[in-house]
Amino acid sequence: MADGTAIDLARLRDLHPRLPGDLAAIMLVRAALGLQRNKHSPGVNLQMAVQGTVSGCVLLWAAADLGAAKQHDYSRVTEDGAEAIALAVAHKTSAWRVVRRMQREEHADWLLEHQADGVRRLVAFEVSGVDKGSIVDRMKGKLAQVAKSRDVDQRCAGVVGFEQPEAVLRLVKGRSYGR
Amino acid sequence: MDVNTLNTLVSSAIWRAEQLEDLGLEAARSAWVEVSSLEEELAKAIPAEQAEGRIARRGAVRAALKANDVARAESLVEQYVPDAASGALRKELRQAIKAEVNDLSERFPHAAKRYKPTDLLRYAKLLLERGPFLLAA
Repeated sequence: MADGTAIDLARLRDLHPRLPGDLAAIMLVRAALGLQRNKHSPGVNLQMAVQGTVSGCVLLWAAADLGAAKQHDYSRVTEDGAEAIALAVAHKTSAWRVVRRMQREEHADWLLEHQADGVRRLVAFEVSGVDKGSIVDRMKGKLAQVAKSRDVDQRCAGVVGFEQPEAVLRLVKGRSYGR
Repeated sequence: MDVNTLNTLVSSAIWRAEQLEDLGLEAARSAWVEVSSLEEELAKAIPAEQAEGRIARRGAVRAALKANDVARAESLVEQYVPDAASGALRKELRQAIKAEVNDLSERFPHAAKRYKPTDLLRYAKLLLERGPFLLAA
């Protein structure tokens, strides 16, 4: 159900200029490995559900050598690959951009920013990936985690499922402590 | 160095430190030293009244603790507490040190009974850095 637009993961640093180049490079390789080991090829339809609004788009990436997958930790392929896809979706659907990575104790992976009515807003963004199976339980856990994030305007959990593939982004309701 | 550059550098440093930590590698400690230093630079550039300033202050202290540099963490807390801008941040910064003491007390219960918290932190750092025989020496 693609809406005619595409997300090209190769453009990730154009979407998020403050994303470090070395980090982006490895995230992109791992996203490619995560997608390809689930038998997907560039051009696959990515189903997106952002705050309950379901849409689809074509997902493009530079194909990776699956033979090199053994050099990467299996779960890191899922987690880091999910971050690449979730960050691309967050920009495409909400125009959010990376400010910085956060330490685990901040209960989110990334601090993002966007403009709302001319005012800069900060978003705590926690991301996770699921290689096979349902993402429902993971989403519940990640929402509970990011709900503890402080000093931000919005808190959002993003879960990427590689099997279908799909990306779901959901905001936590209510204000963040410290704001 | 401008804030955008510092943000990019701290992102890279945190990611690297977390990966090394997950792999259980000794190099994680020096990676956290770098994170603490970059967070400190961000804290200098962004006042505590701003959310990113508070995140940086918490980050500098936490990363120092992850690097087992308790003296640096304590020094940063003393530096940040007077201009913490909110009681909540002051509490969080002090809580970070307290949590470390509690963690060490659980790991070294006999030492916790014998030494004051600051001494416990100092001995734990020496133990982790040098091992039990060099500590005895």
